[in-house]
Amino acid sequence: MTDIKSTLVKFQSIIALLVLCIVLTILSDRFFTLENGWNIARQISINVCISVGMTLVILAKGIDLSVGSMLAFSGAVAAGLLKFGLEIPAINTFVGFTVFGAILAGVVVGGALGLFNGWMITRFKVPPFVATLAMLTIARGATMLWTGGFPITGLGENFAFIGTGWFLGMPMPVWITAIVVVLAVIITNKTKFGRHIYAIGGNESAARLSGININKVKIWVYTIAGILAAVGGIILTSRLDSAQPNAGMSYELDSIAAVVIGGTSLSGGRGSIMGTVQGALIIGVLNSGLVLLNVSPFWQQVIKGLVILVAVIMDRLNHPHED
Amino acid sequence: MSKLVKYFVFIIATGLLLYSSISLEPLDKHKIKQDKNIFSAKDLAANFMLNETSSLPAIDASDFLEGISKNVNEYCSSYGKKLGISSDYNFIIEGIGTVESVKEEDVLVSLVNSDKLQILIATDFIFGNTIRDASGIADIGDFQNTMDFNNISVELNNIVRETIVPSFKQKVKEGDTLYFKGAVEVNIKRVNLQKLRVIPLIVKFNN
Repeated sequence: MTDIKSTLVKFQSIIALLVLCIVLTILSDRFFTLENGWNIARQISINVCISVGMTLVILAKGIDLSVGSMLAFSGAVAAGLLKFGLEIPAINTFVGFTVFGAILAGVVVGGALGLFNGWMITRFKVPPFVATLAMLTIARGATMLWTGGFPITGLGENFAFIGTGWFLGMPMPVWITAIVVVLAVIITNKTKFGRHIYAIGGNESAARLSGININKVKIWVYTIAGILAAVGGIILTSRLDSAQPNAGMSYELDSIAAVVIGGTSLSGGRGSIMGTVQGALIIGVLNSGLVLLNVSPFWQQVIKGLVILVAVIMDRLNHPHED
Repeated sequence: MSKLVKYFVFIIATGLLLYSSISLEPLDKHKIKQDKNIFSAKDLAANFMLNETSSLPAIDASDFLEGISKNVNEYCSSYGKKLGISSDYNFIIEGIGTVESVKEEDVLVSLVNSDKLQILIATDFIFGNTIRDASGIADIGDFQNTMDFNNISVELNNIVRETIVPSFKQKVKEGDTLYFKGAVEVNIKRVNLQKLRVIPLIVKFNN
């Protein structure tokens, strides 16, 4: 009996996803189609990217509220540099950027913002909630300053290929997300760095006493979260062929929801990347299903909130002794 | 020695990365090039209205009304122009008709060589992006910000409002026969063929 219960607990996300798919297939004949499958995969790709970073942060007993804003700023930087280049009057130089250069710059900016988060949290002991809340505002303001409050549009076909193109029969965003997920699974399961993340989230004091450089690991975790937010930002900007100043609003909540639904403990130290992918899939499938069933957007929000609540309650019931 | 090799490889890799990422140019030369390309929505609109409207390809108004009344979705997706995911399709149409009635905001025209087909030519409430999007005068991808793109519509509408409409309104009376060419917008979610309004680009009286 205990075995059955533990198996059910272990696969609860997959079971929930399957049940959801079966119900939606019965309720809507447009749900279980290849086209809708690719739509869902494309739609969740951005959330999966940022949620993978969020999972690492939460596993290390942190939180990152700034992923949506970092996503917007990184995407805007990549778009701005690609479209307008960079003027450096002090040395009378104009720097033009190729698509590759602009993407690289966007990713570097995302990484730098994440690094700053990690530095604030480790060097000045600012609680992650506060440090990343501050970054949420800073990065959003920086995005407004960079774009002047206007969308940056017309980024060209080569850039658009990242978000809208297909490669070997699969959409590009799905390829990018798959690579991110595979790398993250390897990092968390097969590397010393991954084990350190779990150790810090499980018991920070014990991890410190066992010789783990806590600050270094934390800084890396926030930097990776920033880089992955930037990857999400570049996919989004490419998909829309435009960098919107208000892009990524409330994406942090979607990514926390994916992580929580996927079974990662908000207390840190327990969870997995694949769980998060399942969580993002559940949200994506739910979104798609509710739209196909013509459910009012107001009800959609209520339902999604309830799903998150149920996921957390189930998690608490299954792990009653955790903080 | 191995450290030296590492540094060498690092420098080469960084160099290659930068080479494929950026291009450098003196700022003053770049600005001269840029200044030559400063965009003026007013000039673009004026040039369009002066030189391009007469040669602008247009659909015959009777064919347009017949086609759109048969299957609006199919007709719009085959012949209309739209921006992004909008449900507004835009067309340039032309025709010859007889003026049936003259009101403050529009003129009702019965198309000749057709079976009771009528269309309104707008003489008031000239706004929106119909002319810009129907004519294909500009591609949003060519614009650094959407304000420049939107300003094209503002300028086009201003020219129609300030030059074409006043002279049209001054001359038009019931019974006149006229040739018109203009832009029309069809929203496939709220189609009302009786209320389609052509924003005039050219109006010529035949009598």
